[in-house]
Amino acid sequence: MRISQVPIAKKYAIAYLNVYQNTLNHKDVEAIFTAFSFFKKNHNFMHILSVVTIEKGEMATIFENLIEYFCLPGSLYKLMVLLVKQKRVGYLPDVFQDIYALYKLRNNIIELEIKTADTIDLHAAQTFETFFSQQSGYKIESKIAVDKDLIAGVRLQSDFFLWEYSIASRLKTLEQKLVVEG
Amino acid sequence: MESNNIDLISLLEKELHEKPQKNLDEIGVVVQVGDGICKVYGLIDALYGEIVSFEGGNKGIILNMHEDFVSVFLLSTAIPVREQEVVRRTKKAMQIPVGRAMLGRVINALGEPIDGLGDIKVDEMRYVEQECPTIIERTPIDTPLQTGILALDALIPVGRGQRELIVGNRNTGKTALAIDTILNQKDQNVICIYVSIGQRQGNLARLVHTLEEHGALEYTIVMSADSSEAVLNQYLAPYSGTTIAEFFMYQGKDVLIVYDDLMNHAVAYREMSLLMRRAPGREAFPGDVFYLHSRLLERSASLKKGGSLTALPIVQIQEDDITAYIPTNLISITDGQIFLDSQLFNQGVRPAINVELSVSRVAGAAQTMAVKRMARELRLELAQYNELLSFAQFGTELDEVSQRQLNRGSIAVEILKQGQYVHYSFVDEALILFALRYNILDMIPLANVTSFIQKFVGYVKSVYPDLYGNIESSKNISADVIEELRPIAKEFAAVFVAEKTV
Repeated sequence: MRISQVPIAKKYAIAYLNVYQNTLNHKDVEAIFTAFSFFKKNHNFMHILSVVTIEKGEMATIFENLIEYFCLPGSLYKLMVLLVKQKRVGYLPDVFQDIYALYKLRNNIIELEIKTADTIDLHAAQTFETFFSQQSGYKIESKIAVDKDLIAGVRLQSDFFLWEYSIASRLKTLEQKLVVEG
Repeated sequence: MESNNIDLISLLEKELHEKPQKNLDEIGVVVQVGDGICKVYGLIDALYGEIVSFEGGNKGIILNMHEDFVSVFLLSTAIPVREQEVVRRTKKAMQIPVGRAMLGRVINALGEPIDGLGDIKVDEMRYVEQECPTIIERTPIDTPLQTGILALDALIPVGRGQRELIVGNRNTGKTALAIDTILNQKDQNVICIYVSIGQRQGNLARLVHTLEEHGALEYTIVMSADSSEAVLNQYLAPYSGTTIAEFFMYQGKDVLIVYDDLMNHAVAYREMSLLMRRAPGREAFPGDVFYLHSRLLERSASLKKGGSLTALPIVQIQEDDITAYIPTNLISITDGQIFLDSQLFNQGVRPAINVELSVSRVAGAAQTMAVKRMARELRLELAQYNELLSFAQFGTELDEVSQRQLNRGSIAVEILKQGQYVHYSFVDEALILFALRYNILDMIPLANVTSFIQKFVGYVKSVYPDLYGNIESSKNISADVIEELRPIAKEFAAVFVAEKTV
């Protein structure tokens, strides 16, 4: 997960984490990500929140329900109220995205996508994780996917690092060499 | 065909048997792309000015760094870049190939040949951005760079290692002046580099043809970043050209580089800066536009251990306004300027050099003694002439002295007129200036002055080769030579006038 390209959202996220980071756990952060995914998919929901005629009491109820529904940490209620007060509730999805991404970065965690041409067993995945973790110096949260386009081999990719040993990448390298050398 | 297939198969086998890399690649991901620039998330340890390679085959340079992303300018507009594309660090700054084999070739800003004459043998790779020579490495400019243009060599001399700006409106002969200077470097042991920035391809083709026709291409490298190319290439071209020039300079060779023109370069940089959302300043140029040109032109130098890099930057102005932002910057950076006047150009004075507004800060230090001695009072005479001319336009009756000054001034203007591709050696120039200084030309009708000086120079060269050789070898006109030349010139002028009268 990347940090949003919205500097204001990042500021709110940093401020929130500076105060509440120690109270958060892995489950809370995953819940924040689930909520972010919901906001991203349901743009209309954000439009409803931005309607000025919604009374404070009603808004509070919406937030309470959101926290209950997504099992969000209670500390987010204050942040949501602050965003409404400062007329920046529209940034809520970006703030959630940044809280999630920054929390991971602060805890030295990166998401790793393991793509293979064929299915692999858990042991192989763990070997890749260990290799990637040792090389990058980050803790790994991995996702495994099958990608037939690789033809054969494996591709390990995070936001900052890449390691690939596949037929597809070899062919691509060869193609580029031939183009350059004519 | 069969051998090609076998080659391809062996290449493929070799590639597939390549062992996996031991380390991870540091990457970023394209999050936004457009107008030749893209925003890349990641690349956490990337450096400013670093080259990055895109998975699709394109390359780019990091030119802006933000907290969470970097702005990368693309080197090619032909290779598409997609959102979410992986971008790898190369951990290298921009380098271009350089080599002797580049002489006589037309190349792009990346040092690749574009003249269809095949590959160029590379001697080494050099960084495009280099530090300029230090004070310790430099030596004062004392060797003239002969332009072959009388007005320049006599009044605004250019030395080897100097930076002399050519400034003027469009169609006033700026490029022609630079090309004439390149053509005159034949057999002078000077390597020339012409950098075309944002020009039309047709103009460049004509220029290459001219150089070829006059046998100048063999010691010249033409670098092109035409207006259709990516803006980054136009930005890089002068730096790349200078990198090639430095390769020769550090080998002890004398190099002349022409930047045509730096206004287009500044405009390309403005476009890039605005795309990178840097704050616009005067005329929408970014705040560091002065540094853009100063760091380029400071690389010109005359080195103690031998070798020099002379720069002739060209800048186009609008309506003779030299007080615009970029021209004033360049005037303050360079060691003088040659101002080409559109009014003079339209009056038929070509090269249309405005002597009053032109200056060389190196001046006499980089002038051959023969020319220096003969041209000593020329600038003053021309200034007095221009002043008197404005009075004469009111129909004022002038005294004899003023009339004489006017006549001498008009003769001086006449001898400074010079056709394109016509070049004088310094001895020719000294002889022409001698004829003016010792009043030989006073007896020649104004319309015949040009023909007289050409014949006079030819006469001395063919009939008195010892005298001509003496000036050439000593690079000076001694009092004895002057005494010897005087009767010869007077006699020749008398014969010339008599011939014309008949």
